[in-house]
Amino acid sequence: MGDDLFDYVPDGVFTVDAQWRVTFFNRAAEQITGIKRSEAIGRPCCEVFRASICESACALKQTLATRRPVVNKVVYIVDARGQRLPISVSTAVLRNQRGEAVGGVESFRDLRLVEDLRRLAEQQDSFSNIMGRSAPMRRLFELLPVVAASDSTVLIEGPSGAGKELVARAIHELSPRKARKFVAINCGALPDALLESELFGYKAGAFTDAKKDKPGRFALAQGGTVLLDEIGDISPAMQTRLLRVLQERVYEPLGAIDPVKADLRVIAATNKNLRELVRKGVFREDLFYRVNVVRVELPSLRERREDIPLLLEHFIARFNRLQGRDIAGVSDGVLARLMEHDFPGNVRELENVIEHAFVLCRGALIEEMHLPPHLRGEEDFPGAGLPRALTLEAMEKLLIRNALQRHSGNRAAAARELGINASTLFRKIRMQKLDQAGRNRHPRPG
Amino acid sequence: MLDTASRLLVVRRRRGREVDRKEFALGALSVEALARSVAELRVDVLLCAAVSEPLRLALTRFGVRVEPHLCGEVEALLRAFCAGNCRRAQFRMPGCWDHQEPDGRACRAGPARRIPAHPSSQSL
Repeated sequence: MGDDLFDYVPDGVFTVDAQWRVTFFNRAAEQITGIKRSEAIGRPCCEVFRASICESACALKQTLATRRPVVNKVVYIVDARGQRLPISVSTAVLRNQRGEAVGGVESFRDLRLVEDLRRLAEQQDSFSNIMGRSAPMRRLFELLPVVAASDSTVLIEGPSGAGKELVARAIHELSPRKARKFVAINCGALPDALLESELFGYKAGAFTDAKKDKPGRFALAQGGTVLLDEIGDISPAMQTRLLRVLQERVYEPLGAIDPVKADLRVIAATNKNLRELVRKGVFREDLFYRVNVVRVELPSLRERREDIPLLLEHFIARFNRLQGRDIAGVSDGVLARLMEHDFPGNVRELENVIEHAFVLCRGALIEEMHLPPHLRGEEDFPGAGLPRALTLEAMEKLLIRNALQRHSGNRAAAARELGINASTLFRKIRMQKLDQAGRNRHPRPG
Repeated sequence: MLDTASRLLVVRRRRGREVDRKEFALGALSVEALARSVAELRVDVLLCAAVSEPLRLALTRFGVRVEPHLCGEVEALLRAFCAGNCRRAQFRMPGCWDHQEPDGRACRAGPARRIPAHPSSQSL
């Protein structure tokens, strides 16, 4: 082997003989592992290389057993200082001039440079910790600085887990009020009386047990921003009280005589369609117009699937940082599963999936076995238990039948679960010749 | 590498004599869980080859003394450890000893009760 030539190769390269002893170690291998060539030569490769796969899934061993190369397997090594370094390894059989196998050759690439480039790209694809490069997110990134610069009330609409609070924080951080506090309260989580005292505070003696004054969230956020999350869930009585704050910019703590001036910016957020609630008469129209001065709509993750790889990288980097791990990424199979999943819990669900995988994954790559059961297809979801070879029509029939059986023939509920209109389901039931309970309709004999 | 080791050999010694040894299977555990599992085996000293810094620190937090970067045949290393000279050149992993413990202190047998060791003869 031309030793000098291999010293100019940017990838680490080493060879082993039939007894697994290192016979060649190039300069890049020295630099990546931190081990001098003179120390490496003649030692067993696992003492030199220290990869996460050495004990359980040695790539060289696999290559020498099968005579097939391994290409770009992502693993990590522990260097002399105890740092975990993500690398990709490739292996091949080493042959002599007569073509006889005399050992193995392994090349490995330091993935830290790739990681640095990924971080750089991430900076370009994020805005105040909100990640995305899809068209709806790009539009949002353009909108946020403009919205933040004004002092108008903002309504953020979007499904649960889509990042409404993150957007509200970004607006606050970009606004002239950023030096003062950002205070968030989940209006839907508290009963009226508690929500009122939480928002407005109370004076000593306002009610039994009110021994001393307690400032409310509006007082805490004075000069800053308050986020009223789940505003669509508040009662009509609270809607009236909030309307006064938004209209007149004053409020009265419980038990107080004088009104207090509210110098704050209000951001409201909801996962409901407020206009629809107004139409149904459960949300005050005048309050709706007060909060809907500037409207920011957040897309669901399903509507921006192209952001899933970017979000994956972001969460993996974050959990690596938080947990002192060096997971390099996900396998192609995992990526495919995540790309086809609908994520009803949106970005929060994706984050939970990655956190779950971090608990189970000890290697360098998240594999399908590290995913939660519902993503491995092991739970009772509509597609579970389907035979592998099915036509599209047969699969549709099975899914409809299963949904109908699960809902005891309730077509509206089954249609909801399948994500189609009841009329569409009815049409498909007729086409598939199913009865109401999802059983095959057979012509009666005779 | 300890981080991905699947087995752990725990050797119990009392008054300078080995009184018990058992091999334990290690599951797929996170750094914290692995460190806790080792500590729950009442391990005082852990002899191992490569170990990541996060795992070494976690083991130390759980009260386990780690003697890293050791390699060679298990029984020979155990004998050397008991004799207080397991840091002889023949047990040193390549490339590791320029960075750590410049004082070159001898590795000493811990409390005489137990001596755990990494089981793999390849990596120990």
